[in-house]
Amino acid sequence: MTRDVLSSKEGVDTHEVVPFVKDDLPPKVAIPWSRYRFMQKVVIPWAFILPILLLHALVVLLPAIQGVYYSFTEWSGFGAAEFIGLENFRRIFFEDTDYGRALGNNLLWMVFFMTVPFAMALFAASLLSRVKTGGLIYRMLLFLPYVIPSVVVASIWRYLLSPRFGIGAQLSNIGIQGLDVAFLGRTDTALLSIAFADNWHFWGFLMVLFLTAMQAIPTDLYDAAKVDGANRWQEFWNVTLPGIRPTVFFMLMMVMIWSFLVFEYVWLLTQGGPGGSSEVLGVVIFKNAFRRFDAGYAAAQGLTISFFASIIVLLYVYLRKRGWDI
Amino acid sequence: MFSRNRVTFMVGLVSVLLLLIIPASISAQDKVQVTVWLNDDDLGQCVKDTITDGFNAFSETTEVNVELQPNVDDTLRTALAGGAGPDIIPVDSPSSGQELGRAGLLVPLNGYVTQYGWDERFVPWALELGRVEGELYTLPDSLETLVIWYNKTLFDDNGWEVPATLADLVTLSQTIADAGVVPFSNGFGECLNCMGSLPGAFINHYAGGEVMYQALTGEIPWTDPVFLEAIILLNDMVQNGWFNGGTDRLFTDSFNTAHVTLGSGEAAMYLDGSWFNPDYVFGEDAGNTNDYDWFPIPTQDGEEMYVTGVGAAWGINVTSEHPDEAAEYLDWAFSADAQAERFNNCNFALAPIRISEDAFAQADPRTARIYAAYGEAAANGNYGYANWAFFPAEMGTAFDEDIQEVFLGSMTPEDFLSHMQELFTAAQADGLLPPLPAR
Repeated sequence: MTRDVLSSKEGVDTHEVVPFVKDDLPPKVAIPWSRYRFMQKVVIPWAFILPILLLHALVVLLPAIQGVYYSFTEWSGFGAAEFIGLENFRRIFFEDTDYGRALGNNLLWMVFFMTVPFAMALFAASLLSRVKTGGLIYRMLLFLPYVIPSVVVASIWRYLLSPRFGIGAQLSNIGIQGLDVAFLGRTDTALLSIAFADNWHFWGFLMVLFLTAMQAIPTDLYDAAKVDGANRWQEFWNVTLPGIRPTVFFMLMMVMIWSFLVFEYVWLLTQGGPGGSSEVLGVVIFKNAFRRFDAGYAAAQGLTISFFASIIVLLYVYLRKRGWDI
Repeated sequence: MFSRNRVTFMVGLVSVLLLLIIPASISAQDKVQVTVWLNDDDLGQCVKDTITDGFNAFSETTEVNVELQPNVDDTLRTALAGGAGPDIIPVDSPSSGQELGRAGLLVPLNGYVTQYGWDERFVPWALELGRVEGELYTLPDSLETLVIWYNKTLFDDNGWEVPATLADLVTLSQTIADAGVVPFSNGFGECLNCMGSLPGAFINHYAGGEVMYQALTGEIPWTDPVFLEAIILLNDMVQNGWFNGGTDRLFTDSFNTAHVTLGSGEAAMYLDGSWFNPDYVFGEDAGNTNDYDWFPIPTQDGEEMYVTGVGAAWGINVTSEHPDEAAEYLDWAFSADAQAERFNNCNFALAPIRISEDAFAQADPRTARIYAAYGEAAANGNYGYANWAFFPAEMGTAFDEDIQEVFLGSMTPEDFLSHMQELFTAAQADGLLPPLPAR
């Protein structure tokens, strides 16, 4: 982290900040493998990890394998499944317009959550990082929505966005017109309104993560930047952002993956309506599995989400292997 | 330390207590234990107190243990998929029951029908909903129909009369709207996918029960002009703003808001099911002096007709070790006395069984009148088919969702019905049509 920032600064000897040189390590010495070491290095660690591994296999791995199997079948969700090969996937990619529309909504959701909460969180964290007195109270207040259950948040925002009772209606009562709109009842605003409500819940969490990362940046970097005459924006762009880059990129990757898993707020607020305009893949899968009794098809759709998530993870790993500092 | 008399007294007291407790505990252990799951809400608790506890006091051989679940439908689905679940299974709809029956997860009930005479007790068309390929798997519960609830005080004050035909309803709605009142207060903000009740009501009451039967058996297509006219009529009423001022509030107001709007007099009518209890939004406790009543959804020719449907069903888990005892409980739960008690104490809709007028003795006369009127109309063949009970699953889901697009203008009524026909044809080809008793 520090080398590429500091190497651009004249007079800074980067060798001073490198903690050690590889050639100074002592030569490797072979150690006899005793029974004691076998217990210590193999048996005991595995003994500790085995229970949770078995639980993981039972609760995560096995259902995942079953999901893959059922994706190749016609299955109502009950009883026996009939193997139908790739028919479900053919339907997804060549027939099902609902899937395409939902995928588009997930991508829109992803773009929203890769920008809006990140911008808000970075801005707030950057401000809070300089607050000495009372900073904890601000952090708590901004983090508070994250700990409220999603059902409660959805209920709150259903009323806040209501054209009859909500913020728009109250503003209209005092003469500010134009906002008493049925945000959740219109095809052009429903999805973004849900995203807005979810963002209210989520961005505080992101802010706390970024703030923690910011606090790990050595203060002498900011001192050096000030000496060079950097203003607040230049400090943020040249010191803060590079300093928290791994955290930012990691959260970008997670948000991309989570965007394909969104379900609860959409279901709580609109169930994918009106007219399917806020339908996302999670809702489509739920309806296929539990309303249309087409669980095999729903499993196939779920598998496509795993595929998209895998692409994102592989991209991240690839970039890291290429030397990207993320 | 203790006197001899005191010790004797205590030994005697303990002996008496043991004599009282032990027989009761032995008795409880002798009874066969079966389980049933109910929703963990006021209704579930009331059903437990009214039906289950009553059965446990009555039966000398069987004891039913109630487990209240936070979301019984989802919990049950997971349990059944894993080969577990209670002995007595509540099913959220007849179509779900048919799926469970097809999957071999429920005990066939034909033998119990003969043993308990359920074919005499249940209304035939309702019992048929639980059949798959001739075998009965579920017993129907919660008889449901659709009516129009209205603010009677508002009607009386304005001289508005209950409409006899659909044309009268249109005229009345225009009159109400001209008076600055919202004709219908319906709001589906909490459940957009419940909106299917509106087109379901209109196609039934516009086309009539006989035509609905023909469509549900595939004799005529869903694209028939009579259905198109019904959907166009409904859509016109929505576009006129007669349903809660338009799609904005139709799509966002909660059920509670819709009810309050009716009670306050801001709206005049509310198209909903027989399950609705308007008491809580009318009268002093609700902050108004209004009264309510209901009238049947009008038909084209003015003949009284009611959509028929059931909202739930009950079956026996195929993994149950005590199916006979579970059937014994179901027989009790669906007896006239138990149903009357549940109806009066829990405000839970009656099961579709033959029942005397005494069952309604404690009920609100307006609610009792629904069942009486509906029963009479049904006996005369004037009944239709609720979309949530008689449509195949995929068609029913699309029916609820696509109508939203019609109201929003992104789908034409023609395309809506074409899609329904497509899904109906597919369900028919796959043998997934719900059973439909002959008229």
